Amino acid sequence: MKKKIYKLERWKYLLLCVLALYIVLILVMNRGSSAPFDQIRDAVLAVADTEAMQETNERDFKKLYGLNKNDYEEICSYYSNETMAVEELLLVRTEDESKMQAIQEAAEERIETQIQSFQGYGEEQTKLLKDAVLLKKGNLFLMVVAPDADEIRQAFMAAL
Amino acid sequence: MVFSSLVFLFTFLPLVLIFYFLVPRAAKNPVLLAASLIFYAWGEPVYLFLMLLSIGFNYICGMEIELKLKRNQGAKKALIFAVAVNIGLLGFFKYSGFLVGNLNALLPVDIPWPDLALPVGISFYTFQILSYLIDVYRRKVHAQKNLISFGLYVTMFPQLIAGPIVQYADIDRQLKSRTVTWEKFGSGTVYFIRGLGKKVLLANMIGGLFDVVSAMPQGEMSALSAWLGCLAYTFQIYFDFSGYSDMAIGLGRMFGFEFMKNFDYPYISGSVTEFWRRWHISLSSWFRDYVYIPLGGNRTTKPKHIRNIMAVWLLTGLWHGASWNFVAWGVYYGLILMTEKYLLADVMERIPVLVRRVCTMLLVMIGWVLFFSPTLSGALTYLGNMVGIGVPAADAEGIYLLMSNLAMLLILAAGSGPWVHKIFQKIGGDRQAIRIAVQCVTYTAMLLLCVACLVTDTYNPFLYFRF
Repeated sequence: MKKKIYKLERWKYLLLCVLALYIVLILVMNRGSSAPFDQIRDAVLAVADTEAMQETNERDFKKLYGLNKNDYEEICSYYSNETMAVEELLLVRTEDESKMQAIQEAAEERIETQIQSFQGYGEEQTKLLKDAVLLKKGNLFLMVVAPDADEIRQAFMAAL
Repeated sequence: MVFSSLVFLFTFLPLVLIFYFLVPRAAKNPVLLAASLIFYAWGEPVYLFLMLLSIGFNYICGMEIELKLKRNQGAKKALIFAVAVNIGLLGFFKYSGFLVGNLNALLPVDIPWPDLALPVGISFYTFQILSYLIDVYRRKVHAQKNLISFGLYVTMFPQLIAGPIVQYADIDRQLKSRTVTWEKFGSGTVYFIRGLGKKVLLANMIGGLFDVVSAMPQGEMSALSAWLGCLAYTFQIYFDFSGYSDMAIGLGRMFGFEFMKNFDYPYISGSVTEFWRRWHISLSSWFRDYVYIPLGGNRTTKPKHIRNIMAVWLLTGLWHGASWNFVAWGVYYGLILMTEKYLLADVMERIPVLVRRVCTMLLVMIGWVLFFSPTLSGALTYLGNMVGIGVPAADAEGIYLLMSNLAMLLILAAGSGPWVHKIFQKIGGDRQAIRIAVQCVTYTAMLLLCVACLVTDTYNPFLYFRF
């Protein structure tokens, strides 16, 4: 019996070590950013061309993503109100995983719906939508549909 | 993955049921375990590995504790170590950010801390694991030698994400052997559809009213709107969470398991003490069995009993989330329960039951304000709005919201009690065939309505997923 206990203890400590390593890995890989949200938002808006866009209000946001803007305390959302324009910018920080999942799914669905709407006649718009940036970094989520989407992504990454 | 999604209803569940009933008895647990892991990984692939490691670690700890009990040496230390690791994991993922945030607010230094996503269901499965380890130590159950069975106990998909919190002693035998009869499967299906209806047709609908009110700037909200928002949340959280529990119980039955009832019409309670016997029963039972009674329960001196109550309610508050709101919410209930026990016990007996029910509902609704508000100051402002501090008693928007949601609120009020269910059960009188036919039509219609709503709905997670 003593031998069996010794064997179990060895396995227990081994698993504990793996668990500790895994947590360290999560901390490194899934690292968000402790930078203030305002700072990240300003960095993104400095690069993004929002002149042709407008900031979404609660109603616009519900219409676009099916979610309540007020559920997210740290959010920056712009969209273009023109019929043939698809430019959108969405930056969110949330600690709540279910809210993060909700915003990610809503953004993906939004892109998908837009692609379906423009496919066939809006070649340029479809390309922008297909090149859209959808990026989750820890507790932050960024969605960009714009010609300068890649520059915005880079500015976002640099601000973290 | 959520139960109230089309992918669960029309792909995942049918496939799991087909596999489960096709495979021989020996392969049923592995099928359910595999399904549960897929279910978890669907929305949480990063933390699947955490769960697997946790299963392996606790499986070994259970056997170690049992062997050390037999040798009468070191079992307590092994238990304390295992409990500390589990609570440490929960604390790390759930409370570390809160702790560091508070330290940063108090200290002149700014401790950097990465924001971690909370593994879904960690509060629920950690409590299940703790119940297993403690029950093994108490010799209430034997350690589980089969890794698949233990893994299934921890991960079982019907109750993995939001309970009911199943205590190991209640399910030990069912993990080894269980049967599914047509009656049991049928009653499971009925439970599931009823739960789905509560979530999709009632909770989601009234959630719309709460969303409208919570989107209003607090200074511009009339007292009437504030009360409507609070009432909407009161109904939403009940139908959302009890709907999830019904679905979990129903799914369990379809696979031959019996889970404990988690709700028993809490909004008809005549006291807050009674409310907590009827609300989230599995969590209250857990705290009673593993915290309150070991601390001495009520069989001790008055000061110690008060300490025990406050300790349990502080922990209950913290279990729900890492924020001062939840601490305040727990302390709020601790204080009310003590008041009921030591100051109002005699008085309450003389008060008519209807008055007691109304008073209880008011206290519960005030509690929900602490629960749904993003910050403690936000909760106080909202409560101020409810009593009309700095805002009008009613405005056009509030009256419009009341009138447009009145029918829904009445339906929800009726559905919160046992009356609708009782009437429904009596349809057809002694003629069983009529009763069955009516029930079949009703539940089929309910399912179709839910599917119709889900087709047009976006992602709609359960409120209790965040815990």
